[in-house]
Amino acid sequence: MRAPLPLRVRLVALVALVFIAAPLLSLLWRVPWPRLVDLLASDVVTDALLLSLVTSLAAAVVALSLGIPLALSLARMNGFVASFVRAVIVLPMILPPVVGGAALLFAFGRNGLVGSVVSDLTGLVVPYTLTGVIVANTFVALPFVVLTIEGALRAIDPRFELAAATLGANEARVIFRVVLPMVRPALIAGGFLGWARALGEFGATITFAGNIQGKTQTLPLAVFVALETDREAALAMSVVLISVSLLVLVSLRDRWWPVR
Amino acid sequence: MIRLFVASSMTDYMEQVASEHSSTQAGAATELNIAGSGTLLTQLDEGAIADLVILAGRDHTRRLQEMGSFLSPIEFASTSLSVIVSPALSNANLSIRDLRAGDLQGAACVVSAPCGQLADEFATATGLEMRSVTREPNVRSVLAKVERGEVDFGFVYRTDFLAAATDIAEIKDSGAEAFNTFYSLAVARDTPNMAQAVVLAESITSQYGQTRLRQLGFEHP
Amino acid sequence: MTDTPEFLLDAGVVLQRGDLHLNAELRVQHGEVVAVMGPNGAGKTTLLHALLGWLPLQSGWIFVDGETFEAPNEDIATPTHRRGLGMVFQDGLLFPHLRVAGNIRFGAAPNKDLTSLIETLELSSLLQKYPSELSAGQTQRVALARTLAAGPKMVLLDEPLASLDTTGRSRARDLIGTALSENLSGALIVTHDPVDAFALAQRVVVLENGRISQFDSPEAIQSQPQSRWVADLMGWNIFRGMRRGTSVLMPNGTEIATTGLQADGEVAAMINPASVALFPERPVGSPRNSWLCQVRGVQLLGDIARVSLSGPLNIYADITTTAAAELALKEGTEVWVTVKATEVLTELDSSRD
Repeated sequence: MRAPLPLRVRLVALVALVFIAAPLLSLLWRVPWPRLVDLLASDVVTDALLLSLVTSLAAAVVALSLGIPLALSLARMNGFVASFVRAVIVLPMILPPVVGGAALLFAFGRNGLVGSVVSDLTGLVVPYTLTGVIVANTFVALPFVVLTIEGALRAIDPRFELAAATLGANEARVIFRVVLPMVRPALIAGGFLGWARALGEFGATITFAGNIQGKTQTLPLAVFVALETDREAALAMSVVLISVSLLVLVSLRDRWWPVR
Repeated sequence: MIRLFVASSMTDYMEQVASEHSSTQAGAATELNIAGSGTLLTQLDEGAIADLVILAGRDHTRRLQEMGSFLSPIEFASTSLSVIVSPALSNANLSIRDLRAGDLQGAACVVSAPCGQLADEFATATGLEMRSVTREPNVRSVLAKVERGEVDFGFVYRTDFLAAATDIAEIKDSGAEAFNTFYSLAVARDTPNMAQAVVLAESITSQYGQTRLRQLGFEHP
Repeated sequence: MTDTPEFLLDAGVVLQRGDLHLNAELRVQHGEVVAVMGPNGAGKTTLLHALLGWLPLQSGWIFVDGETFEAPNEDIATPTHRRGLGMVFQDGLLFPHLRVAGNIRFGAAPNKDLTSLIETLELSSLLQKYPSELSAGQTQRVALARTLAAGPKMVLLDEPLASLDTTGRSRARDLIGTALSENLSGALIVTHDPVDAFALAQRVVVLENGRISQFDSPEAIQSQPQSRWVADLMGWNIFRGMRRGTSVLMPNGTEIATTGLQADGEVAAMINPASVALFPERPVGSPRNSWLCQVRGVQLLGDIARVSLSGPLNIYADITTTAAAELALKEGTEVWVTVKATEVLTELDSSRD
C-alpha cells in the first residue's frame, strides 16, 4: 500500500481524466445507436472497414518483420550512436503524419528518389494503391514496434545469451530460441500497438496514398469525408475505431508470459 | 475583431481585402478562419461564431441560409471547373477521351467540397470514371499533386489554374467551363460586429472589389 | 599437440577489465575438479567468462583437451558455442520461457542419456514445471542437468550453491558431486565457501586481485595458508562425527553440543575460530562445550592471534593479540576452550571418499 494522495492532487487527476474522457463520451452520446448496424453496412463503410483491416494487419506484419531486426541491432548499440538511431526511429512517432506522408512521397512517390527508379525499372507505382496505404501505415507503426521490443531486449540479462552459447547454440539459435521467445510479450504488445496505430493512421495515408474509395480510403479517411457529408456514418465508424483501439489497449496487459 | 469564415479558394483575395480593411477602417481588426466550405458549415453547425461567411457552392449557401442566423446571402463571384494535367503531360495535347481510358491517375476534391461536386457532375456528363480518382481534402491539395506530378490530371478551379506558376496545362475544349461554382457572402445577424461586417461585405461587392476579383480570374455571376 | 594431452585445461589468461588486471595460469587434469576461491572482485567470474570466450584474451592461451581455443598471438579465437565448455551460473539462468524438460533438451547432445541424468539429479517430477515454479535448489539441479546434457568437455560452475539455504545446499552439493563424478572429465567450480570447495574439489585455486596466490590440495590450503585471505577463509574448524541427539559425537568420544536438529547419520560440525573463547580457569556455570586443551602454537596474523590447540578436540581459536598477551599463551599452556552451542553449525557430511 502507498500513502493516500493529497486531495488537491486527486482533484487535478480527476480533471485530467475528464478532459480525456469527455470528448470521447460526447462522441458516443451523438451516435445514432439504433441505426448503427445499418450505417456500418453501407458500401462506403464496408469498403473502408475491409480496407483498414487488411492494410493495418499487413502493416503490423511488415513492421514486425522489419522492426525486430532493427530492435535487435538497436539494443546492441550504445552511447551517441544508439541515441541518434533511436531519435531517427522515433521521428515518425512525433512528426505530424502529413509531413511523414510528404516525406514518403519524396522518397517513394512517382518522382521520388526511390520511387522513380522503381517505376522506371518495374513500372510499379506505389502511391494511390493498396501498397501505398500499407507503406504509409508501416511508416507510422514501425516506431511503436521497435521501441517496445528494444525496451524488452535491453531488460534481458545478456548472460542468457552466454548460457545459450555454452549449450552449443550459434548466433541464430540464440536469437530465435532464446532472445525472441524471452521477449514474446513485447513482440505481441509491439505488434498490437503498431496495428492500432496503423488502424488510426490518417495524415500520412491521405498525403501519400490518396483517398480512393475501395482502394485507399481507410476508415479514418472515410470518417474525415463523411464528417461533412454523412455525419451519422462518420460517428458509426468512429465507434468502430474507438472500440478496437480501446480493446487493444485494455487487453495489452502483460498477459502473454506463459508463467504465473 | 471581425471574424471571417472563408472558403479556401477565396484565400488570396480575402487576405488582401481583410488587410486593406484593417488598415483603412480604424480599430476593425480581422481574423480569418480558412477551410473548405463543408468544414466551415460543420464548424458553424457545432456553434462556431462568425461575423461574415464566404462560401463556395450553392448547396452550401442554401444550408447556411437554413441555419437562420444570417442575412440573405449575396452571390458575388463565380469560377468554372478546369481539368489540368501534370507538367510532364503538358505538351501531350490530351483530351477527355484520353482520361476515359483509365490508365492515368487523377485527383479531385472530396464530394463535400464544391470543387469535388463539380468534378462529379462533369464526370457524369462526359462519361468519365471517377472510381480510381483520389479525393483530396481541398482544391489546393489537388493542385499541388498535379504540379508535383504525383498524379497525371486533376480537377481544379480555373482561378487556381490561372494563378499557378508552374508548367501545368489545361485540357482545351473539355466543356468544363460550363460547370461553375458560385461564391456567396453572408453577414451574421445580431452580432456586435454587424456594422463592421456590412462595411466589409460592401467593399467586396463594390466596383473596386469586382475589378480585383476579375484580375484573379473570377467572373461576375 | 600430443595425442593424449597431459592436461584437460591448460590456460594462461591475461586481460584487463575495468580496474581488474587478470593474469592467471591454470592447469586442470583429466577427471579433476578444481575449486576457484577468492575475495569478491578478484576476477573469478571474469576468469570463467574468458575461458568461455565471452571476454577476449589480451594475451595468453587456452588449450582444452589438446585443442587450441584461444591464442591471441596466432589470431585464434573459437566462438563460445564451439568450445564445448559447460557453464552453471550462480542463479541458474534457466530459460524462463521453457519448461524444465525444454531447458534440459536445449543443448542436449544427440547421444546423451538424459534419463539417467534426470534420475541422478532427481528431476523426474519437475520436468513439466517452468523455472519460476522451482526452488533455488531445484533451479541449480536443473541448470546442472542442462549443462551436462550438452555433453561438455568440461564444466565451469560459478557459485552454484551460493543462492541456496543450508539444507538445500548440502543436498544440492551431494547431487552435484555425484553428477560431476558420473558425467565429467573435469570441472572448475567457483565458490566462496570452503565447505563446498572441500566437498567437491581435489584442488583449490585461490585468486586474489587477478592473480593466483595459491594452487594446492585442500589440506595444504588449510594447513599452510599463504595469505591472510586464505587463512581467514580456511580458518573454519570442521569436525566429522555422528549425530547423537543435538550433539555431534566424534570418533574419539568428544561430544560437541549444537542447537540444530537434523536427520541422523554422519554430520560435520563447523566452528568459526573467531567464536572459540579461551579462559585460563574453568568458566563459571560450566557450559556444555568446554574442554581443557593445550596450546600447540600461536600465529600472528595482523591484529589477530590464531591459537592452535590440541586436547579432546584439535581446534583453532582466533583471539585478539591483546587477549593472547593477557593469557600469556605459549606452547604447552593449558587453557579452557569454550564454544557456544549456538555457534556450532552442522552439515550433513558429504565428504568425498
